[in-house]
Amino acid sequence: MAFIELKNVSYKYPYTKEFALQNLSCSFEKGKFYGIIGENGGGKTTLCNLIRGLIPHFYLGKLTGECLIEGKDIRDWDTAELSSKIGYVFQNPFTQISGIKSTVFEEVAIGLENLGVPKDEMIERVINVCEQLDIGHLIKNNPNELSGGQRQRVAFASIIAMDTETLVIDEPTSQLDPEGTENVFKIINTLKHSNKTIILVEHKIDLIAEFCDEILVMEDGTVAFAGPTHEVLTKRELLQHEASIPEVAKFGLAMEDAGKHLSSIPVTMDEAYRLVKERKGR
Amino acid sequence: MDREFAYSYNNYVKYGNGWKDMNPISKLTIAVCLGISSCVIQRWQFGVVLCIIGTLMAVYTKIFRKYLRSLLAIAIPLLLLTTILRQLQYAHTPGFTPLFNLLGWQWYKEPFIMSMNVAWYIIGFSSVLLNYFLNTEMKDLMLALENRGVTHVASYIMLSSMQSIIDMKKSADTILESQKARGIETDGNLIVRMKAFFPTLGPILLSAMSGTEEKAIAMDARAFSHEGGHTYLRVLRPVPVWEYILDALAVLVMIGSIAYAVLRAMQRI
Amino acid sequence: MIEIKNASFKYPNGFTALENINLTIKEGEKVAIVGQNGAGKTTCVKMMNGLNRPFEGDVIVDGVNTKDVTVATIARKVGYVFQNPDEQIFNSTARKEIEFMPRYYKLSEEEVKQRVDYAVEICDIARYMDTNPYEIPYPIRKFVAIAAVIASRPKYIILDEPTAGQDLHGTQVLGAMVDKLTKDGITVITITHDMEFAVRNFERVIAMAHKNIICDGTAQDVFWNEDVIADAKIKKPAMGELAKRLGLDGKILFCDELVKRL
Repeated sequence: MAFIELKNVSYKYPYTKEFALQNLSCSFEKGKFYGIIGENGGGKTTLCNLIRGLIPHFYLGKLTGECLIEGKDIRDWDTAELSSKIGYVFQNPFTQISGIKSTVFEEVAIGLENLGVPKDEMIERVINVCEQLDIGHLIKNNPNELSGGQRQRVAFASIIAMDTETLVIDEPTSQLDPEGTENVFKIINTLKHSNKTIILVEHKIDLIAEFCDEILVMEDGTVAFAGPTHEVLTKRELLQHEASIPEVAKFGLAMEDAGKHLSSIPVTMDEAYRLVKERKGR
Repeated sequence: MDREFAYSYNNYVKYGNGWKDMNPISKLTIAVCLGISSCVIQRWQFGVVLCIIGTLMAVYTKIFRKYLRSLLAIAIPLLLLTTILRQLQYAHTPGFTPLFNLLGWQWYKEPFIMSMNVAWYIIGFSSVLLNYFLNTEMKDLMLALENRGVTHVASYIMLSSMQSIIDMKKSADTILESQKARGIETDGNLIVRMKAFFPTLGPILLSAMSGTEEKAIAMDARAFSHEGGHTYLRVLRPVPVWEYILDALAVLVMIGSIAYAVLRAMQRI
Repeated sequence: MIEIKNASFKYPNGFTALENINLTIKEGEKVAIVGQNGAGKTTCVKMMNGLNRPFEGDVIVDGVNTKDVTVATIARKVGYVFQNPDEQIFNSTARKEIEFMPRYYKLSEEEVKQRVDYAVEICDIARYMDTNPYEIPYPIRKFVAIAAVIASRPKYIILDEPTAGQDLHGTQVLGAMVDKLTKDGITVITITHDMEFAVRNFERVIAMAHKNIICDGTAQDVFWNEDVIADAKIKKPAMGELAKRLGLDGKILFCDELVKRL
């Protein structure tokens, strides 16, 4: 059974006319890394809000269809319980800092305090997470005085410390500079090897191509394409949709158009290099 | 990583000075009792004594600079204003003892003492409270209150609003810059400045407000509404017996001073 | 013409952010400024509209020294769109926001309408005109902020990280905007972390590092100079990277060039 399953879900935010999700069906299996891409306004963030239980518990509005988490309908879940199952990191590095803690160490511990983790265990877990995410040098700093990129890493640490089975990550790098982005990519890379279920919304398509097992392309509140990463990102039709595909995939398609077929369409730089070399060798 | 720092959270919260390390509620009790005493006694002698104790305390707890700056800001205008007003008020009252003559302006002793009583009871009161606030981290006070049953929601609201005031100040600067950059004239006479002020107001308030929704979501993701045991990384020292004794003494001083004030009032009748 | 001459800049706390910068930007140019955070990009563009006054040296905009006039005066010539639209927008609808500066300058109704229409078309936000800006999604709100600056019709427009948070469509609108504005005689200067965007849309690329300009030239000059790439900590565009790995010469940066060579 899929860990998260959506069947014919439609949703409208309060006071809006248009549906943010329309007849959406998809499922997420345990332990896999999912990438969600697609145009802005296509429903990516709304989908995250639903999986996190913010819809219908925080945002009211009209929800129809079924959204099952571990077989139980989202409406029947208690949000507090859900927050210890599904972690959530989003775009804005500034609003994800609690504003009530004066050191990064305390900030990272905040979720554990709320969950009632005993203090000695709490300290060990925070130390481990800070080391894992390479923010050990920041633990004494005031989180309210960090740069955006540093704050985002602290936000990841607070959530990862809670050790949820699933992580929903909504455009974590859209407001960061390249250095901050790279540091977040490193975190995502460590997560990939952690057997967690990860749902990542991201515009930086190269990141998606490198990390994700499966991809969902969202458009107008529903899933336009879904499937294994390679299969989805090499679809020529994607070029007509408002979803970007990796530069190297565009290159692969352009080679095809010029009658210089590569043996398949690449989605990562390494793959592109290998395929071009292979073609030259032929 | 500084592991020593990380493991220091195993200990109770400690600053290394006796007054600052006291439980914030014990401290508050002392400060409030002494402050109230100063207000009800209304004698300059009491105020001066409190002020001396407060000043020594400020030196001991290494907050003297900040303490002095705030105290002088209160004390100097207060002393000047009350003395001058009292002298003017009683300038033509017969039977007062002449004190000295300032360039043809006759000062009297009784109104001078009256003004000292008023000024010093306020200064004494301020001195004690400054010592409290400059030596107490708000987060410690909230933690102490949480230990006494205040919900972590109330504590969160209190602490995060203080932070958001700091954040708002920061964003106000950027917003002002951005309006200037659009071509809105901000330098010049009052009307020009008022006109420039308006466009900055909206973004400041709105950015603070739009931040709250996201903050709520972020806090929810950190299991804020989780029910059942809440644990704390920072733990305050259990209140030692001597703090209770000090508190009791402070309460006694307050009761004593109230009794003194009542007796004095009755004598007058 | 914007001329920065031997300019240095220090923050009030004493931190030097730029050291002896020299830069001339002519009318109608498309200039992208790239480099790591802290390299001085924002500090540098803020000198162009007077928000930052050089501590040493001069900044001259169309013959006027920025030291001699207020920021608002220079803003008529040099428009600056901040990275975060929420620091700028304060009106209750997108239309009012975009009309604000033309009305502030007391232009005729007709001219206000003309300017607003022009800006709205370029930014592709016609359907959001009567919406409260705070109900408009963030990426589109950025376009409202840009439109408001375009409507004040400056000769030079500075965009700070316009592609941040944009999807493919948004980035395409931005690319077309750069073309259209420069065609209409407006100089566009942008700070960007998006190297693909810089390569595709800008003729001149300036790389900054260590409080100074380390390379100023064409995209090829910057992205095929390995020292500059390393120093400015920027990423070579994908096609350039692939060409380099394949050992091809000719400073390839675009897909069609690469396809032709293989």
